Amino acid sequence: MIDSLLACGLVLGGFALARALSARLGHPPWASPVLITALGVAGVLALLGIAPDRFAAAALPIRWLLGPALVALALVIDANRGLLRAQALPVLAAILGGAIVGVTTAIAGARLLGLDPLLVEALATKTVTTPFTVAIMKATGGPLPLAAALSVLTGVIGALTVPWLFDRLGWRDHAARSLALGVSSHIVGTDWLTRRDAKAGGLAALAFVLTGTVVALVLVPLWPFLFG
Amino acid sequence: MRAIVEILPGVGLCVVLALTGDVLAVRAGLAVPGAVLGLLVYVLWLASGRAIGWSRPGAALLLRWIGAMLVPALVGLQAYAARLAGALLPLALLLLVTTLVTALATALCFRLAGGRG
Repeated sequence: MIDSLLACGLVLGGFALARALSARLGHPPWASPVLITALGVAGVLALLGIAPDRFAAAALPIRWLLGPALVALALVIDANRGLLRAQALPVLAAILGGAIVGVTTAIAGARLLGLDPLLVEALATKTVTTPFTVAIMKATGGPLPLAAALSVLTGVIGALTVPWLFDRLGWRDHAARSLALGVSSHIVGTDWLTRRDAKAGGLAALAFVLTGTVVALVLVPLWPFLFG
Repeated sequence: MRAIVEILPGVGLCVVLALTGDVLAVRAGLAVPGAVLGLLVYVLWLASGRAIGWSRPGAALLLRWIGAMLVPALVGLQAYAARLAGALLPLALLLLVTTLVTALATALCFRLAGGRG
């Protein structure tokens, strides 16, 4: 109980500080509050000599809140109803195409590089956000904690690099950028985008929810053939 | 006190929808997170135009803190430090390249299917 209060306090307090710092700097992608908080928490744990397992167990309440927060994303999706109605086909094509490329490049790339089989399984869900990763790994028996961590790390990397890449390419198309960030960098990318532009964030939220659903529905039945 | 009264209904609704979704997903043997079923219900409810404004402040509060809820998973990478140490560079490269390729593919599909704006 005390462990949980301390762990949740550390994460929430750290996140509030990191967010304030990021806002002060003008929300640059490199100042990701999620990444800053994680590094800070890891530093505190190392300093105090607390085992990662003990922290993981103590921080369960805050992880659990991710479910209700996922439900709350309905607000941002609802804000994009107009665009959805007008461009349902291109939006669905983008999400399907992105999801297929995301899963196949991760598995094929990991195998080509000769990575540990457990790592290959964990990478299969890198393009879906953590709640979906958890559901898929529970259904398939894959490496849950590793996959969840890699999924968040993917989001951090995407939020740092995807907007930069699109700027370099001169792609200013708002909807395409939002969908691309939502599919490739899911919750972390969406969180970052929502702070700058709530409407774009809504489209990204829609993208990662649909991506997660599609990947979960397709990957679970295919799992025994891919990794059996 | 007033702030708590404002946010409680929305947080409560999201918690109830997430839990109900979990129960339904397990019962139906679905491989999607239960919270997604809850999300679907909330989206439809909002789209129905029925007054549900009371839920907005609480739901918005959850959204503001969503990043914090991901921190424990990222910190959990520490436990795999030994396993990842040997593959750090290829793993980092793979994550970077596949994430950028996925983003490009998504944007291209949107454009090819006639998406604008």
